[in-house]
Amino acid sequence: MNIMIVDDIKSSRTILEKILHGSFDCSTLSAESGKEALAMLSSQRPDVILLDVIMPNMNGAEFLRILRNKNKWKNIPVVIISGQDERSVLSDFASMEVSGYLFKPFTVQDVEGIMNPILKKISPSLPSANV
Amino acid sequence: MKSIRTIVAYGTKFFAQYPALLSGYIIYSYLFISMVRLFIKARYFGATLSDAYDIFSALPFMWFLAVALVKVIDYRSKFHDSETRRMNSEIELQTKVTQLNTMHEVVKGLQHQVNNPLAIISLAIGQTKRSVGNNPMVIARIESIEHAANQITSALQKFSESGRYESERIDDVVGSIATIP
Repeated sequence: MNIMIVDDIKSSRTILEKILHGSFDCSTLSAESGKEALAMLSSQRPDVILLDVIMPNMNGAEFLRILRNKNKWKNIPVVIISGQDERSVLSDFASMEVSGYLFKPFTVQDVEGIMNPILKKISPSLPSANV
Repeated sequence: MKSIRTIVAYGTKFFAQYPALLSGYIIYSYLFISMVRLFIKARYFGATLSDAYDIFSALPFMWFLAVALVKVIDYRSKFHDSETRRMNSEIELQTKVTQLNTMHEVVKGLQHQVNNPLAIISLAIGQTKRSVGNNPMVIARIESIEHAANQITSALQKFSESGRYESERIDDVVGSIATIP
C-alpha cells in the first residue's frame, strides 16, 4: 500500500507519514506542491492521495482537476486536507470526485477513521487501524 | 448676469425654507395691486360693487393657490429629508457590510494560518498519547496541552462564525441593518 501526502508544510507531511506508518502497513510518498506531486505520479502510482488545498505552485483543486482528467490516475482515491472554512472547501470540490475530507485541526482518530474504509476497499485483507 | 443668478438661487433657497412667507408675499402683492386698481377706478371712473367683485374675485383662488404652494413645498422638503436620511443609512449599512466582509476575510485567513500548526499539535498529541502508555503524570500534561489546543480551535471557530451576517431591511425610512444571526 502506497499513500501520497501532498502538503506544503513539511512538519504536516512528517507527522502524517509517522501516523500512517504507525496505523497502517504502508509506505508513503510526499510532495510539497501539486506540481511536484504530478512529477512524482509519472514514475509512481500511489493507492491513495492525501491532498492539501492551499499550496504554492499549483493548489489542491488544480491538481485534482488534472488528476481526474487523466485516465490512468482518475480512479485514485483522494482525501482533501484543509485548514479553511468547511463550507467553502466543500463547495470548491463539490463537482470533483473526493473520497473524504479532513478539516484541520484533526486528530489521529480522524485520520484513521477516514483512511480505514478507503484502504479496506482497495485491499480487503488489510487489517483495520485501531480507531 | 452672475449676480442675478446668485439672487435667484438665494431667493429659491430662502422661499424653499420659508414657504409660508412666499405665499404671504403672493397674496399681499395681489391684494395691494387689486386695491390700487380699485382706488384708480373709483377716483377717475367711479366704481360700483360689481367692479370691486371683478377686481377681488381671484383673491380666494390666490389664497387657495398659496396654501397649496405651502403644502407642496412642505411635502417636498419632508420627502427630501427622508430621502437624505435613507441614503445616509444605506451608505452607513454599506460601510458596515464592507467592514464585516473584511473582518470575515481576516478571520478566515487567520483561521487557516492557525489551523495548520494546530493540526500538527493535535496529531503529535495523539501520537504521544499512544506511545507513553499508562504514565498518569505524562498523560495529564498531554491532556492539558490538548485542552488548550481545543480552546484555541473553538475560540477561532466561534469568531469565524460571528463573521456570518445578513442584511435585513427593517423599514423603508430607516433603511437596512446588518444583523448577526
